[in-house]
Formats: sequence, C-alpha cells, structure tokens
Amino acid sequence: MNTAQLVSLSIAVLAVAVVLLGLVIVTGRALNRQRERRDARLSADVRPLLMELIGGDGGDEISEPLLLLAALDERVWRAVEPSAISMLGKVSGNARVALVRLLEQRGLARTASRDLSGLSAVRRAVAAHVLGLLGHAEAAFPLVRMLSDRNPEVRAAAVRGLGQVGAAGAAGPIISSMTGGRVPFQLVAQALIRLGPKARPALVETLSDGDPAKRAVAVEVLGLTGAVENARALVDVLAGDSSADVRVRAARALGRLGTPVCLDALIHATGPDHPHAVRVEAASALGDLGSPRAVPTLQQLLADSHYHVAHNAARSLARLGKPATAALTETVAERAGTPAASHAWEALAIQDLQAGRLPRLPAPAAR
Amino acid sequence: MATVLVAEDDADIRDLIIFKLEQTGHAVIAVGDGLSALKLAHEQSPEIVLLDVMMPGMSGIDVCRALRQDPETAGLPIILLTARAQESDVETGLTAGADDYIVKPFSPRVLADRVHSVLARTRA
Repeated sequence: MNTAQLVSLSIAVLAVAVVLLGLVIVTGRALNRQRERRDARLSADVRPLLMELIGGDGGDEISEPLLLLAALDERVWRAVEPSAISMLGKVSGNARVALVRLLEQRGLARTASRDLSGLSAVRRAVAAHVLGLLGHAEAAFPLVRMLSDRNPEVRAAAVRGLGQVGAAGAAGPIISSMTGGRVPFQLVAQALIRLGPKARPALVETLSDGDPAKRAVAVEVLGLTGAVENARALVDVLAGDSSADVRVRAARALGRLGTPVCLDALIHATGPDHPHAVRVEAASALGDLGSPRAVPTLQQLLADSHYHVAHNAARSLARLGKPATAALTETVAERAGTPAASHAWEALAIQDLQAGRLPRLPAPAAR
Repeated sequence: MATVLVAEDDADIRDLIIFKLEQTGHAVIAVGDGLSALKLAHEQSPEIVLLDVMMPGMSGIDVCRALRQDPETAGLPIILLTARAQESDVETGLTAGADDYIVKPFSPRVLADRVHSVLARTRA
C-alpha cells in the first residue's frame, strides 16, 4: 500500500469514526430528551400529591398522600424524587416532617448511607448531601468519616451535612477538616453557625490552636452566633493573638457581641501600640457596638494620622446618636481645615443623605 | 378571600405556595420573574403581592420599590420571601416598602398565616 492509499484509508476511517460518534451523540441526546419528557410527564401526574403532602398541616391530613406516595411504582417515584429531595431544604415545620417521613419510607436514608462508600465521588457527595438534608443524628458518624474523603466535593458535602444534622460532637471534626485547606473557611464557618451554641466548647478550645486559620474561624463564629458568655476569651484573643488577622476578626466579633467588657477592650485596641489593621477594625467595631461611651475615644481618633482609622471613627460616630453627632459637628466647626474636620463632615453628610436630606453643613474648602 | 400575585423563580416553591394559598381559599396568579410580576400587578389588580427577593433580571426588592413608587400600586401589601436571614437584608426589604418578610426555609402554614394577617392589617 503506497502513501496515497494510506492517506485515503485514514481519511475514510476517520470519516466513519466521525459519523459513528455523531450518531452516538445524537442518539444519546434523543434518548435523554425522551427520558426527560417521560419523567416530566410522570412527575406532573404525582406532583399535586407531593404538594398536598408538603402543604398539608401535618397529622391525619398528610396520611393519605403519604401512603399513596410511599406506595408509588419505583419508575414513577424516580421521576418525582429529585423534587422531593430538593424541597427538603426549602420548607420547615410540619411540611419538612412529612417529607422526611416519606423519604424514609422510600428508603432514602438507607440508600444514601450505602452510597457513602461508593466508588463514584459524585455518588458519595450526593449521599452526604441527602443525609444532611434528612438531618438524622445517626448520620453524624459516617459523615465525620467522609471529612477525610480524597475528593474535595465529598468533604464539602460532608461538612455541610454535619452542620445540618446538628450533632454537638461534630464541631471538633468540622474544625479539624480545615487542616491544610482541605475544606474552605466559609463552609466550615457556615456549618459551625448551623450547630449554634452546641459548637461553643469546641470553638473556645480552638482559640488556642496552633493554626491561625482555625483560630480565625472560631473567633468569627463566636461573634456571629452571639456568644456573649465567651466575650472574655475573645478579649484575650484581641489583646494577644500572634496573628493580626485573628485579632482583626476578634475586634469585629466583640463589636457584634456588644457587652461592656467588649467596649473597654475595643477602646484599648484603638491605641497606637496596636497593629494598624486592628486599630482600623476596632474603630469600626465601636460603631457596631453602639455605646455612647465610645464617643470621646472616637472623636480623638478623627485626628489620627492613619486615614482608615480616622475614617472609620467618623463613620462609627455617625451611628452613635445625638452626642456623637454633636461631637462630629463640633469637630467640623473647631478644627476647620484639618483632615479631622473633613472626616467628620463626610460622616455627617452621609448621615444626612441616608436620612433623605441634603447635607446641613457646607462642604469644607479644598486643601 | 383575596387575589394573590406570587413571583417566585423556583418552580417547586412556586407550586407549593400556589397549593397552600388556593387551599386556604385565595386565587393565585403566579409568575417566575420580577418583570412579569410588575406587569401583572398593574393588569390584574391583586390584593396582595408575594415576592421572592432573588429572581433573575429584576429582584423582589426592585419590584417592591417600583410598586411603591407608582401611585396606582403604592398601597399594595407586599410580603418578601427571602433566603437571607441577615438583618441587613431584611432591613433593605422593609426600607424598600415591604410590609412583612418570610425567611426560607419556611413553613407553608406560617406563609398562609402571614398572608392572612397582612391582609387583615391592611383591610382594617
């Protein structure tokens, strides 16, 4: 066979392969569309029953749709199951209770537990997701095991699932899953927030962990969940943590908690011996905290040489009511021409605009 | 009872709201986006509007503001349906003129009760 014949043969083989591939794709798509149409038809027939189950008020009212849905033919159930699972995360109260009962009767928890050890990562992640949605306490242990799964999506689904299950003992493993960035900060924080007060002992313990990322998540979650009883522990973090990022987060958390001990610690953290980023955040957190006792400190900070410290102090003053507004007005009048007056004027102008009126004071002359 | 305009892009939630409100005796007009909701609010004269905050194109907050700015619809009671429980989001919704809000995940019964009480409040 000469070269020309070889080339012709190759082209012919390639053309046949392309045609065959095209046929496979077209047939696959047609089959998919057909299956989707069939599932949509089957699902549409049963959907009113599902709505009746979820929209009922619980008790006897749900028993008939529950019985009918639980007894559905497997093919019909497969068409409506995705809707039922997706509704789990969208409803609460009796509607959720009814759905969980149905899904349990259809054996979803059993299937999901089995799928956790499946070969496919997608199947394992879906199983972790479903177990979390069902919220079964007994799913906590298998989900904790999934935190060390080789696939990041499975680990993420396991963390989310543990937050939904709400087992107190899950907080420690959830925090540990952050090691080496194996699970993102945001996911861990969200799961811990869902655990609520149950997570607090583990969070407080984490404040002395060697990993700054874990300390940061603990501080953030304690602040976001209103852990006022742990305010002193956060004050210690603000004063002495080795990581500036963790201290910045501690300042923000203390502003959210808003107890007297937080106020004193934040006022102290605006001092010149603290890192710039911590001072900036502390000035802002004093506005979140909302105590007029912070007014003298914030007024002094208007003249700070660091722009962002002075700027945040002004914005905080604008949120602290009449004495603070008076302090801003006084600064504009008495320190005209200085950066402090500019910061104060800007805060007052924003305050006026937010109240739907034009700035009361004339703009300071450009320097 | 009342004609309720529902704007919700999630078909599952939309169907559930329709079912629950019809079960409690209301007539429901349902759409999947904000722009259609705005159009129907003028054309169908509903007595109350239920808006999902996160919708493609025009958000529930935008629709709420637009309804409040139009003298024809300014007095319509509006309930926002939001997946965000953050205080600032709720504040934004109420500042935009909403009468009430419901946070997802929600109980269908609570939703029906809330519609009923907002209607009672505005009719009083």
